[in-house]
Amino acid sequence: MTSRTIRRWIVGSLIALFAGAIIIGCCTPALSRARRSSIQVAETMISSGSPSYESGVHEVADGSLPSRDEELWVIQRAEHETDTDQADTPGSGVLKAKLAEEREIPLPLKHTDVQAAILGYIGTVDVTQQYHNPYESKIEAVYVFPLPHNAAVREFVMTIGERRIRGIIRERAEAEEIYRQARSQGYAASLMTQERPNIFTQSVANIEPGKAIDIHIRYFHTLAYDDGWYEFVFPMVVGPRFNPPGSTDGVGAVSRGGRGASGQSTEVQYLKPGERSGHDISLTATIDAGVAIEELRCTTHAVAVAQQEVPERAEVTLSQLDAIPNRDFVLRYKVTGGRVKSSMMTAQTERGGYFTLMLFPPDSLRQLQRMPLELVFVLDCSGSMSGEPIAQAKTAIERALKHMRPDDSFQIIRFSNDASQLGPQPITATPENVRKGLAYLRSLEGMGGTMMIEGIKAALDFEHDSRRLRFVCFLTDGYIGNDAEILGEVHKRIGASRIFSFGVGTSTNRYLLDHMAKIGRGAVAYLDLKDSATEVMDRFFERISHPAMTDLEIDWAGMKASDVYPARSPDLFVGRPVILTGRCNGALPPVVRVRGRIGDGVQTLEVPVSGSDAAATALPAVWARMKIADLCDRATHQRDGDLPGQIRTVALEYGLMSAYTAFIAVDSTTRTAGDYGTTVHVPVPVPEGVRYETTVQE
Amino acid sequence: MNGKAHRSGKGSAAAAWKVVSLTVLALLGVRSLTVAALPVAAVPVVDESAVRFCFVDLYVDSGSQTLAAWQVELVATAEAGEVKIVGIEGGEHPAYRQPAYYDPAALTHHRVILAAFCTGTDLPTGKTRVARVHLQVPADAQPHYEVKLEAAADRDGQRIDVTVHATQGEPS
Repeated sequence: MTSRTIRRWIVGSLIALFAGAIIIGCCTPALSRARRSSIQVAETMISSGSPSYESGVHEVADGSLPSRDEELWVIQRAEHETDTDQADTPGSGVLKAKLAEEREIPLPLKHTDVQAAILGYIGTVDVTQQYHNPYESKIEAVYVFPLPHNAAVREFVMTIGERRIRGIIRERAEAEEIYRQARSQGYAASLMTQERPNIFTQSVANIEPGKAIDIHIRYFHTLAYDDGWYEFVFPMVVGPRFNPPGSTDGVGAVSRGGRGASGQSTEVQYLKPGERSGHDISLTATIDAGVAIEELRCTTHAVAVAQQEVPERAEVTLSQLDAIPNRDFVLRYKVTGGRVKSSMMTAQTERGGYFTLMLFPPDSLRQLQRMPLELVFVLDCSGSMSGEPIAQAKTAIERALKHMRPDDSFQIIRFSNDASQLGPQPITATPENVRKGLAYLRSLEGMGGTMMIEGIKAALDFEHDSRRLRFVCFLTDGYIGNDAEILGEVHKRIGASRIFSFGVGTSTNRYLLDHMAKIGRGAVAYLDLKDSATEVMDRFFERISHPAMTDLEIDWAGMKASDVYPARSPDLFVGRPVILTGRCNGALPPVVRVRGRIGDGVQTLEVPVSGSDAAATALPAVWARMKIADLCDRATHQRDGDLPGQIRTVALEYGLMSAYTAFIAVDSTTRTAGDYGTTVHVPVPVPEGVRYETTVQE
Repeated sequence: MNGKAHRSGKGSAAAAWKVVSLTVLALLGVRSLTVAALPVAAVPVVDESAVRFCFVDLYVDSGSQTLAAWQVELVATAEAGEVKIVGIEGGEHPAYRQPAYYDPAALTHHRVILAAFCTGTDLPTGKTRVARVHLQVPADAQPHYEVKLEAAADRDGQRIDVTVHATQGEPS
């Protein structure tokens, strides 16, 4: 009674401010469960026997304690051998463990912890980065790291000992200036900036020797859905990007200690072969799918799944034996077939109403057959694709060629420093031509740069054969630094083509691939090195073997809908829903109606509308993030209007990260002695399957 | 000879300076070697005298009643220039140890609306520090603070009368 009354009071008077807190309240039991579960899982793993690890609860320095009342579970890596390497840290006296032949580099980023709570298809993710200073003098730590490109980052807390300081969202230039001043004057401070929608920089100033500072970030995002499977992705490392000659605002890939070698405004430093950092990662995801979870898969990492009392829920914990952050964590779960229906969720807040509409294609689509196809495969043959990634991509194209009918046509284009192709025009998919195509495909190898513009021009500038549906399939890791230029080019040249992008590798540039497919009104698929390339291509063919529902129009049944994103409704393909997010006003109707063309006919879908208090926090942030993404997309091909100003306004109003806003936190209680010390850039491993030699600038 | 001796004297002084200089350089060299082993980034020079940092503590006094929720508006101004809010820290009582939330839509450089609540049973009574707000202020200016109570409630969700005030703190 007491707590209910107070909650009512809070909802009545403080809801706008407590948005984040309410979610914490909702998530806390789940997260506590997750922690307990993780402990059980860890105990299970340890009892099963692993000679390299010891278990136990250990005393931790005050500076690294999360809080007094939180459960602690510390798995300490066994120190096989200790060494002090003067070449790395003269006089530091840092203890380093040597495992196998790898040399550990002492670094300020010790650990990253990820706690994800998934409710329906909205994920709330808490990321804690634990920095410390293993040297003898003060340091500033700088870490370039990835997050999902659709992450709405809206919380930032710096923890020093037991003191927690919430970061403030500011215009980027202003936040940077405050940080410079605080760093220069000796205050502990942290700054988070966005370099790309999926690349961020964390700077932490004035970490004193032996001290620790934690940075906690919270973001919301929507999960991808494909043929009954939801997909949760947590990227762990930024892949080495290629920048066209002459560019300076790209993302450079340089070796550890090679700052400035690339000449790019943002640089990622990579560990050299034979080196490793002590940075590891822990991750727990709790899922409340709303409908029964039929199957759960994680092909990228070793995980433990904790038993739940209800089939709608699951808890997944990353194994500590697989804690090196060198590839994306991808968790897929399948919900009970036939029960996922189109739905519209709304939330009322002090700012007004918000909705998200998830549209599933009608079952009737599967009964209809397709028109002849014109498939253009564009294969990235740059250095970063050499080895396993290009082999995966070639297997996928091979499979696609074998699916084709004689009335279809195809073309294969390769690009690295330049582009070349199988022939001047697409050729019909006769058995003989398919054999020629396969032979050409087998001759391709990965080397050189990633001049993707050349591949785009070659693929989209063909004259369109109106008797066939043209699909352009890009197979690439997307390791380029000029994302905006590429997307602008795709927008300019897309014409009647549809783009299906295939991200190949363990840590692909999902922002680029998703947005190419979005502009190209197609879809995206990811082909991890451990995935079956044939299965992924089979699913693609199943999708394009039936007509799509196009030209979607929505009758909102009296409700006032506005600011709907994406602004241009994508087509509905078999197995792939479309998610629209917008603002709403007025009375909520019981259903909205969606009309679309299928071939020569028209079909209408009825979608039930429901309200959700639980979504009141996430929906405004998700909507604002989509609006920012839409404005950013427009900025790639529109030069008019004050798009940066509009992005800044939305980001500041909703307290979100963007290219023009940043989080700043300063601890003004203590001024540390001396100057700001040394800046240490946190180097990362190259993604698994990527060759250091062909991608990183020495 | 004299000249030589003179030169010799100069030479001794020069030699001494060389020794000192070399020693200093050697020391500096050791220092720079020590630092050079770590990757170093160039740091732009900033004018330290332009601004300084300080904090303001926000107190709520709920008398004999328990404080389960509060919302306060803080405005910090200075005649000589702009005051900027650069961080929000939690309070002293465990119920308010977590940093308060702020409304980004209402945030300006110098104005913020803060709020926090606690549904637990361990709630403070009397005067308690509920938040610490970190500020960047013009170096020579003494900021002025206005604190306005927006709302406060006890554990039953009933509005309560409380007093609020702010106290500036300086870095140690």
